[in-house]
Amino acid sequence: MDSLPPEPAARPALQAANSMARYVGIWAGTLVLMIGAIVALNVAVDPYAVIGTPRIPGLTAQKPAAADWPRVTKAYMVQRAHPTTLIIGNSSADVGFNPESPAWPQSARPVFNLAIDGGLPATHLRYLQHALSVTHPAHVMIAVNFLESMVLPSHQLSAATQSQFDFEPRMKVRADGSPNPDYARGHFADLVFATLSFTALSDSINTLMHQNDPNATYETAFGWNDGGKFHRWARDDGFDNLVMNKDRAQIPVFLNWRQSKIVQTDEVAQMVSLARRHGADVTIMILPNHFHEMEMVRQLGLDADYDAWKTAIVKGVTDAAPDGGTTIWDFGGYSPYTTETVPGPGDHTHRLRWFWEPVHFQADLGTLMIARAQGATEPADFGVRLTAAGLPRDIAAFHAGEVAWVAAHPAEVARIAALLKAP
Amino acid sequence: MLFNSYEFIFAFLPLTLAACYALARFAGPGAAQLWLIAASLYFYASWNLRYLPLLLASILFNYLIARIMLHAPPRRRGWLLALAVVVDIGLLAYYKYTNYFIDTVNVLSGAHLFVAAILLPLGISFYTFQQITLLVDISGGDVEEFRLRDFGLFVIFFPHLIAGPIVHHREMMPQFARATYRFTWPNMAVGATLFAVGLFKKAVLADGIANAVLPLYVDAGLHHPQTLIYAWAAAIGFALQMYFDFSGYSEMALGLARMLGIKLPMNFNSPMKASSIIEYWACWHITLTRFLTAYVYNPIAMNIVRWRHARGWKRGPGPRGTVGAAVSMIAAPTVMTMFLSGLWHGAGNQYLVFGLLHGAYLTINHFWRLYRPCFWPDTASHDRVMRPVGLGLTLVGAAVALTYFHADSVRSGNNIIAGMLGLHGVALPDVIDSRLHGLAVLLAHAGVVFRPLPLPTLLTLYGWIAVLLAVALIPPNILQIMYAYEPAITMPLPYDKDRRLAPLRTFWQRIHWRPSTPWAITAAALSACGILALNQVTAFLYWQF
Repeated sequence: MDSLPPEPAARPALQAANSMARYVGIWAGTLVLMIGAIVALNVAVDPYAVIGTPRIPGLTAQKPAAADWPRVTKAYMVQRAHPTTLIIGNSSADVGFNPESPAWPQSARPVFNLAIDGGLPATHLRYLQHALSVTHPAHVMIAVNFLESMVLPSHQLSAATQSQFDFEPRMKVRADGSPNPDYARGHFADLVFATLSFTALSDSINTLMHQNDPNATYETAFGWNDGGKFHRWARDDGFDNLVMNKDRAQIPVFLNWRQSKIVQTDEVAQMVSLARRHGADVTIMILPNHFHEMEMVRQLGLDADYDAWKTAIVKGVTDAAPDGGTTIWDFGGYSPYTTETVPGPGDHTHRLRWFWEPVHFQADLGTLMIARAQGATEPADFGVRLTAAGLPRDIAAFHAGEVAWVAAHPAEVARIAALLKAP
Repeated sequence: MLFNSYEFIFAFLPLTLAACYALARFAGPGAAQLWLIAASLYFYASWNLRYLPLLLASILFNYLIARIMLHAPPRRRGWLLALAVVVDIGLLAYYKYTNYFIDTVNVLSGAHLFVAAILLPLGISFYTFQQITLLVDISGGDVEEFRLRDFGLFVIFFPHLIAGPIVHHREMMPQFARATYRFTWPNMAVGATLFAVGLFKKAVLADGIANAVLPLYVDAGLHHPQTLIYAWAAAIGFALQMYFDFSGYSEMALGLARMLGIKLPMNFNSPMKASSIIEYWACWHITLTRFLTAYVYNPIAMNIVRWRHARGWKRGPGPRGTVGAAVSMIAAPTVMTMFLSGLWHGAGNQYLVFGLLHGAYLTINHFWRLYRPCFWPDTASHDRVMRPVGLGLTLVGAAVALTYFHADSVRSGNNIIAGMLGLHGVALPDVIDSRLHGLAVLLAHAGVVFRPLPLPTLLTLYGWIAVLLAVALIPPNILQIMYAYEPAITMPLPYDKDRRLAPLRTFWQRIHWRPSTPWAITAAALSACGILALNQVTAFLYWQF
């Protein structure tokens, strides 16, 4: 039997309940549709390359947002890359070493750049452990510099640096080499972030709108940050602005570090040892600095500390790989490539050819370094192959170059001195 | 587990609601109520299981005292009340103030007393005071019989357990006793809409500006001098963050309770539109204000009045009264109440400064109201001038006090306030100097210095402030928009009675929530935005009280 129609007095309440039911239905349906559409877009664009959706040229191939999240993107990209050569290092290596550089021989390809912007040696060690647990490279290139080895008191570290170890849940293995039980949770959290977040939506739209944009910074499928932001800053603000800003930022770091003078080099030796245990050859690249950086080190009386750091690196690497299989290249000396004069203030026409600012070098210089490390004899005045036995000679040559440069460039020396004295 | 987390929204809430509705339908409201108690305990324990026994012990202790008091003679009730208050406040003091007390003694005496850091149990300030109010009212003979499960749910009902609204037993326990806990479309529609609005305010607006404001407070905490433009952004920006964070949380709580057929009291009523600090406190954290008024201010004021009467001092405050009366009857209870309010908010000198500043503001405001007619008798002209002036003064005054609230120490707070006063100069990003050199020269002549500060960060900060100020100052609040559907027990004024909406009243009167398609799509969009913002999950600012 059909149910009876409601009493007239109950009709308004029933109508109200019906309209509320309809409201909830539309609300829930619209919400599911909106969220579904956003997830689908983010999966298709994959702005951080976390999912591994195929890159569509002209649409999603270039990923500007991935360059902002290297700790996230590279942890997953490296699992899909199956590289023959792996590059480890900080932002200088991230920007400076292009895995698609013509200097890489065919036998070294594919190359993956696993350098982490703002990373400390301990960060690089963890990413290498992670990479070696999922891939089997034949070569590992480890880029090191003096600045990243400085241990600063924790309260002087920037928030970004203090969050160094937020990446732990996305590492496949723990520091002791055992499987990481948090990996599944970390991976899930990254997938949710990459598909169901405002940041991802905004970055997906940004990705679609900024393909081949000369103002954007991209991370390639091989993990290289193409340095787009440096291009933009150099064009808009001039190289002098870039260099001076970096100089000003470096001064407090040096001054703070000068109070403790603690350096960390153990991680470099651990990385060498780990790579060797996995059967990979290792190349250590001591990165070049522009003379502004080297002159600050000299004027602050840190020359001897720089020498001691280099000595510790060489000793650590030699001890970690007694059976060989390692090569150390030092590009840190005075050469035509590191002593370019910076264009004057307001000069937006002239540019530095090899550096962006005193710490970050351009990929063209990276190509020269890769070529030298791969056996090229030119340029002969850039880069020295270091050995424990030859180290004193190399250090002496460095200081001879330093003395000559200082004597020939009094104006530059005075400019750095003024900068160091500025409040 | 936070309201603004995936596990709460996609797991805890749907499961809790579904089981509650099913139990209410097939096993009756008693079973649903027990389920809600269990779910609330799980919700609490998910934060830290270690403090669950403390919460349960507190509930059982206070319930037993309450039961004994209900049947005890009045004199014995007083003793029992004193015992319960000592135990409750003692526990609160131990967990909340031991470290602060030891630190203060060490600073003042140079001693080196040490006690391991004591972790503050979540929500202890809220559940302690809610239970004390019940006992106080039983002591006054204002409470009749009640059941353990109603009492238990009154204390631990998960929508208000952690950060309020601070509910009163008179408005909650009868609801818990009467509620069917069954699913209804109207409750779901109203509750989901309130939750969506609250989630949007918290996850999108408050957390959005928080990313821009937080670095300024970190910098101030490192004792880097805060310059004028950044200091103002820090103060006003945090005031807005706090408002959207806490009012968003409160609306989420209202929505959650409403889905279960329970109405909570209103906690915010557009306080940024207040044109005096008295009005501000009537609109900001309303349930705390009414608690402080009923259980702290009034008893203090009454005792002072009795004390004065006992000495034959019968003249009151005001133009025909005495200054002594004004100080003792208005300033003293106000400052004492706000001092305690500051202490309640946190164990740190900066919270005391926050409370004392508000005590001073309120006292000045009360005195102004009392004595203003003597020198400015024309109320119409006063209102015409002072409403806009008062709005600005109230916003700045509240922002200054909240700066101390958020700073990690009084020194850090002073750093920002000194910056607001221009004592640390004016700095701008040097990109202005390199790109707009002509303007930069003029600014430099005016004393502005250029530093390597990122311009987009500054623009983002002021962009957020502009947007949030507009949202806080112009439209009616969600409780007014949903007025016809009684989203809360206590309600704000409707459009036609709220003078603050006057400039655009005709326009706003067309904006009423109803269960229509456009509103459903709007609520869905707000929900989607809130869910998309969850990846930057941050705790509510009132989480640790």
